[in-house]
Amino acid sequence: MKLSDTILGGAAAVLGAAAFLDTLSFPKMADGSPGPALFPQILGVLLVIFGLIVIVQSTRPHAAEENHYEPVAILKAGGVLVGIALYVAFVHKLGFLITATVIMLGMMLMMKVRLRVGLPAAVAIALFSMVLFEKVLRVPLPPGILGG
Amino acid sequence: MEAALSGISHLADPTIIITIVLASALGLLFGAIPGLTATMAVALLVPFTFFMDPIPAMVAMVTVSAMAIFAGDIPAALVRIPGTPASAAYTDESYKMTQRGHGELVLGVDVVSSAIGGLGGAICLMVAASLLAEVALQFTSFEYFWMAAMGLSATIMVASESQAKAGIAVLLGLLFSTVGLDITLGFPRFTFGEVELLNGVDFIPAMIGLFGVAEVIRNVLSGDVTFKPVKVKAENIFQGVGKVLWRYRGNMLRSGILGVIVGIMPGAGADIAAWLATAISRQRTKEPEKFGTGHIEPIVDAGTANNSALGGAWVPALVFGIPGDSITAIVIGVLFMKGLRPGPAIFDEHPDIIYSVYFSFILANILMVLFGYLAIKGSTYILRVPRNVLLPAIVMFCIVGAFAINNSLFDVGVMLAMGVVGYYLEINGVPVAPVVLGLVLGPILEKNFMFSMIKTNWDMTLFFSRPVAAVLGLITIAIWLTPVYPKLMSRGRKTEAA
Repeated sequence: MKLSDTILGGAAAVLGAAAFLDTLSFPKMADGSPGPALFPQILGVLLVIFGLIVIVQSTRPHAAEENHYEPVAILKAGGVLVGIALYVAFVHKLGFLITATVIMLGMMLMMKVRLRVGLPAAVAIALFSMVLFEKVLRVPLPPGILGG
Repeated sequence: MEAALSGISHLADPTIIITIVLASALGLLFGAIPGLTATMAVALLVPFTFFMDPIPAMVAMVTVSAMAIFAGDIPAALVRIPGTPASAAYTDESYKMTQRGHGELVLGVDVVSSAIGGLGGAICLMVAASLLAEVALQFTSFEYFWMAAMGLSATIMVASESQAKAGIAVLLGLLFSTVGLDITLGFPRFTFGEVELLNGVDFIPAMIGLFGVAEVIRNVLSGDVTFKPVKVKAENIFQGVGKVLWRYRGNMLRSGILGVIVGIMPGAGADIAAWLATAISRQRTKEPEKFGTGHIEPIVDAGTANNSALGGAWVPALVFGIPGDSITAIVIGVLFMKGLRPGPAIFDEHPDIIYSVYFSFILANILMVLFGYLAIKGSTYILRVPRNVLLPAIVMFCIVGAFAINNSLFDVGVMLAMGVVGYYLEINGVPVAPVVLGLVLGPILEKNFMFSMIKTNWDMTLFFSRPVAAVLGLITIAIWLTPVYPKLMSRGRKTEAA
């Protein structure tokens, strides 16, 4: 029994079923034949089938219940995603330079970089990306509280 | 001929030369640092290609991938960790040779066999692509439907761990590709009222999320690794290489061809080519006792095969718009972004782009010997680059890169969402690359399926009415049935015994 795989298969099957149900409201073609709904319906059915296969395989006795990764590592990996979400939330208010520096520094500290290495590295990389994207590629990055 | 000359003249352009040098450095760095892959390097390059003309963009992607696949051999030989998955098949053998004091020879063989394999792959690409483009001109929606279906099915079948999980990954990618206005009625599907989703899930931020962010996450998951590379004298790497390669010239030819074939197969790329080449090498060797003790033969084989696979993967990508591996899946995305449609027509409409791809393959593989030497010389420094500083920097490049395409934070959100999907799949042992393949092939599959259905008035037997379509269809169905074969075989044997 491998619970994480049972959940994965279940999630796939639920997603497939949800997609299928949603397509029932899609319009048909003028001659009554299926149009926009057909392809996602096929995908929905196949997702349910593959999800069920993964569930069945997960309940086999030799499917060892083991997690590949350390819980701390999984948390740190989640931290990377939280960092990106925080960037989206704060970049307009604080501007690119501050947000990027803080978020990179946060990730570096999480990955056990010392502050005296991490701080200058984060500032340098943020400045480098700003010059590269703003000056060379001419992508306007949010200036935030530091400018206009 | 004119296009060929123009292709060559493009490569002499100073901007292109600078592009090649920078792309080589990026490829060698990402290849040589374990955990950073060729695919990730190409994905990170995408936002920059957005601001480039098509030719330098293609040249950059070819160069990055070729250099990265070679450079993956460096940490394999020096620290027993493959730099990219394509070097995993012969990492043990390489490291054992290094331990026995032959580190220089291994690295020399790595770089020269990679270059020769890459050149062979380039020649096969040039010949096969031009020939197939003629054939592809005759293709209708039936053939394209089967080509896409075959590619996706093959991706599932070659999955190493669980085919059902790879199937989920492919279907997820296909489902993502249905978001937005549909092709038959222009009906908005799965957009949840978001105007920005009407055009579908933008491919570029999705790919940066799946290949960039998800790969950073994979690195974080694997924990801290410190390297103590064995020191080698780069000056000596070419000593004795000629003798070894001449001895195994037959192996190189065999593995080069094998690599191209694996590369052409959608869904299978350089890593599978290397595994297969190693397996065949073990089977066909005259010195089986030396395998596993630090033997150069499988290194020659796999080193040639993984680089020749790169050229092979471009064949279906350019001719049919169907990627041969995850790198060419990105390339197709970039071509679309540039308003170019990969397919037989591109050979007539933009031959200069095709020729510049050919010539940049040749140039990159010739330069590989020089740049490879420099990378080996600097390998102790490259391997000392702290990954825990580098990974946050890569995340930042992913964020800014996803933002740069449309100057939209929504795209960063798409990248984040795909990063979450990639993260969940990754911790559950589901491969991420098939999601991207599904995302690229989804529109091709659906469009040609719906066209064929409407054209034939919903008669599916007509999907087999044309000879090439019938063959492709039968191959696809044969691939679907592969999980059943072992059962059929054992049942057959039982009845025979009875």
